[in-house]
Amino acid sequence: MLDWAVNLLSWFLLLTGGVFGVIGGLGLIRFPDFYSRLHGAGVTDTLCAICIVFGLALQSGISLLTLKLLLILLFLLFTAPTASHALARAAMVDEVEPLLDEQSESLASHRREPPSNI
Amino acid sequence: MRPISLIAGLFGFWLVLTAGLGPWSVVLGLFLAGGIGVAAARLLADPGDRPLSAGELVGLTGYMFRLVGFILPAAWQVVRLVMHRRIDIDPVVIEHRTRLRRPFARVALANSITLTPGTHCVDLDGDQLTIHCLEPRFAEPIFEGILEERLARLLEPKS
Repeated sequence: MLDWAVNLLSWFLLLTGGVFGVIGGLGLIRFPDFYSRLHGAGVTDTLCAICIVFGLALQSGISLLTLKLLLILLFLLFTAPTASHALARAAMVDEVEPLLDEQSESLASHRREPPSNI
Repeated sequence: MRPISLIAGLFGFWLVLTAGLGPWSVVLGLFLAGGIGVAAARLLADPGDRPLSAGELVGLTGYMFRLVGFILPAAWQVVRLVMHRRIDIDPVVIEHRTRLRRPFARVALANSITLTPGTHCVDLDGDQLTIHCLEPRFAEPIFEGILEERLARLLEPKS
């Protein structure tokens, strides 16, 4: 009975994670500019990854495999923002302007030159 | 010293992931960890900060899992925006001055903001963060300073 419930929850999480992955991809296509598309990709980095890792952890039970999965999730949570920050900053330095609300300040007014030692 | 601790950390990570102590696994792990450690050493600029203590590292791991509580509602909001029949967003760029003083704490804050869907830290210069938000309401938790307060408690206990 318990196995059945764990399997059901695990499959629910795996399927939900898959759906969020597709939605993240859809966000990449549907959002209008580079910067807002990064937010769409953020759904894949977070909701999708968290659901899939916890779904898999339920399948593996309490074992070394679960520790590995949690480490992989932790690794993703550290590296995903670093990678998307690098993308966004490269776009800003390269003078890619976002589509913004009329009342927002422009990104150009915040642009600074990257340090010369990079 | 830092490349050696980096190589040791990478090798430990490799051992947990492979869960194998066979000769090939160890040799390959040492080779890869050493190669990455040496290649990355020159990219590691001096952070001008004291290294993290073991307690702070454990606290940060706990913070990451607590951060998930912030991420999930924000991600759900972004999912709703994506799935709406018509994409109706009002992106804004905001500037936020953090009261965190330690470079590591500032980077952790910028990473937390970027990890939360709907907000994206584009630049971090001194205490000033430039943040792209999908909608102005996504910026509210940043101005409320909840994450900053947690990071200050964790990494700057004397402040």
